[in-house]
Amino acid sequence: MNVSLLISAAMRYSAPVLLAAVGALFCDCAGVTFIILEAQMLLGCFFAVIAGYYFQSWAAGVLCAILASILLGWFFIWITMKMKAIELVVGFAINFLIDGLTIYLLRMVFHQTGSFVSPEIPAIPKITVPVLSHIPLIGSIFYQQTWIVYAAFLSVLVAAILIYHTPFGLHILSSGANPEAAKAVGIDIGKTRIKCIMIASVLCGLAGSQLSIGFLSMFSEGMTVGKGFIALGALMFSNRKPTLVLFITLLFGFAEAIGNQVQLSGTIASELVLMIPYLAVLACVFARKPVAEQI
Amino acid sequence: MNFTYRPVPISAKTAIMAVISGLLFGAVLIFATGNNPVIIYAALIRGACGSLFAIASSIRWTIPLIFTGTAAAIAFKGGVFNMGVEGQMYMGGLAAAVVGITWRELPGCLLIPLMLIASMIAGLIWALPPILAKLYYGSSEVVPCMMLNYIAMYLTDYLVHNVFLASGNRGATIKTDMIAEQSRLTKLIPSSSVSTALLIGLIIVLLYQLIIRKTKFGYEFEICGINPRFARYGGVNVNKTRIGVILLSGAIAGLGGATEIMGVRYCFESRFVGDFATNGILAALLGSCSPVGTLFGAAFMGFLKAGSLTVERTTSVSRAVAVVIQCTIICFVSAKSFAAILDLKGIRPGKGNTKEGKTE
Repeated sequence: MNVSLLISAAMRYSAPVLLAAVGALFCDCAGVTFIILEAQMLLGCFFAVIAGYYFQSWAAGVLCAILASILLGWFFIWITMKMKAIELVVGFAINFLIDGLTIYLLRMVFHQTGSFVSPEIPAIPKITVPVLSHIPLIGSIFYQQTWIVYAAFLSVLVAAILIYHTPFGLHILSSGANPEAAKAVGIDIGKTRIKCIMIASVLCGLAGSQLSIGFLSMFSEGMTVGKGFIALGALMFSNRKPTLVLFITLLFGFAEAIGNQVQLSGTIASELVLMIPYLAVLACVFARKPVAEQI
Repeated sequence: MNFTYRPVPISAKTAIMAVISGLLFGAVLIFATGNNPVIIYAALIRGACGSLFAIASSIRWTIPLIFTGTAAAIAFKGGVFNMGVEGQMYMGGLAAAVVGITWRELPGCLLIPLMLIASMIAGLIWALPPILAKLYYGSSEVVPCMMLNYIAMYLTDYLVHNVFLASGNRGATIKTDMIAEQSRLTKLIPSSSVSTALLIGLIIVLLYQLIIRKTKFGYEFEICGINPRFARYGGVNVNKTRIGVILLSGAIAGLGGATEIMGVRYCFESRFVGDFATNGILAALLGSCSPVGTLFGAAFMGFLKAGSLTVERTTSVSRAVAVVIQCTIICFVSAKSFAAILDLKGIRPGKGNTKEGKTE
């Protein structure tokens, strides 16, 4: 097993989950039950491929993915804040709505079933950092990755500073911890939450682009396979600590990368290998310290 | 994140408004992709209730949703957001199929109950980890449920592929041998897929009604869903009740898997659950988790599914449009201010954008 290849693959696999988890971190801190990460990622995947294919440019693909994700975020905001719908129910419904919508559009507009593969789908260019990539072993971190991967790891740092060291972060935390008190001191909770959802939308759009045109250049039905929920699992385990979010998503990245290597070697059935990331999340849930009665 | 869900009663008006907006959105989508919505909806209705065959098809797609819907409704009513119905259904289905294949020589009157019980136990076991995570590890049940769905899907694939693969399989589909002849459920409508599973489903709905109306456990779990603190204050052991609720829910979901296999497919096929679980959950949400409401919700979802299959067969529109319609409906069904806005717009046209939320 090639270690530097493994590290490089783990980085690639954990980047989308990390982006989604950071987005969820903002929403969680602001007190929004935001479970449409999966849908936003899938929509991002779809539009990144489609727009990239039409405009023959990866930049247009990424831009459209972000726009689509933001649009979906606005729909969520409108229906939960203005129409007073239940966040959990709407989130759940939107996840399946987007699953159906992408399948529908894929079949109706592009007459493809299952997946959309074409050599004309552009890929996000891979960047190799000149000097750093020559460091033995960890040099592979800086070798042939898209800029979104670097952005994902940067986003953790930004989130940590923004949430825990700025006035804006204080607004976020207070509207999550005690909305009434936050309102009393003049914080506009609605606006703070909208900003958080927008941040999450942009990050999920990026995650979707990385997933689709970042390394495969294809779209297949339901290609996020629960990555949004894995991000939620990582968030839940992390107790809102950005470093823990980073650590856990990297763990999942490694689980997936190792799984793929094992699958290639063909010693273990592929079904069992595919289970690994989900088992890892489940193990994380039960690795926590038991708590007293929860109501 | 706050994952507590409390069922809220949905007025008939809101439900109708939601259905209309769902159909409207579907129509826009169909129109945008170059088809006439009227023709497509006519095909949908024809496929769902245009002939005896169409009605049988609607009922066939409703039956599994009765099980998954009731399973979801019970859990939601007890304050547990059981999204793991899919995984529980897989495990229940596999357990029933394995029993039906292994003990071929048993008479039907013994084998059928054995298969049903096996499926319930399997579903129940699969429902246990999420609630333990919620109650004793301070995690929410939503994420473990989703993870267990994927794990169940791959695990059943693995087991069928490596242990129970059909003899003489050509390799195309992953499925088990046929279950014993005497363990198949009797058909209610000849040459269709409607079997006595329908009766089992209706019995389950009836039992659910009886539990919440007549028993102490039913009252307790309803109170736990509405206000767990009050329930504890009143001397209800909330944790114990919630474990009971999700076990019941898991058992019913497992039973749904078993009846699908015993009544329709006669073997365990890889990924046989498809969208039964999600549609069942949507049916429960549409029917605000009451037994009768869930039954209607399931019937509506089955109707849409049967219709959408005809749409796909006879026109160029994909059946995925039904998924879009269903999910749009659910988006709007919990929107309290949605029906109110349209009300006010009727009285004072052009006015009404900010304050209606407070009038509700």
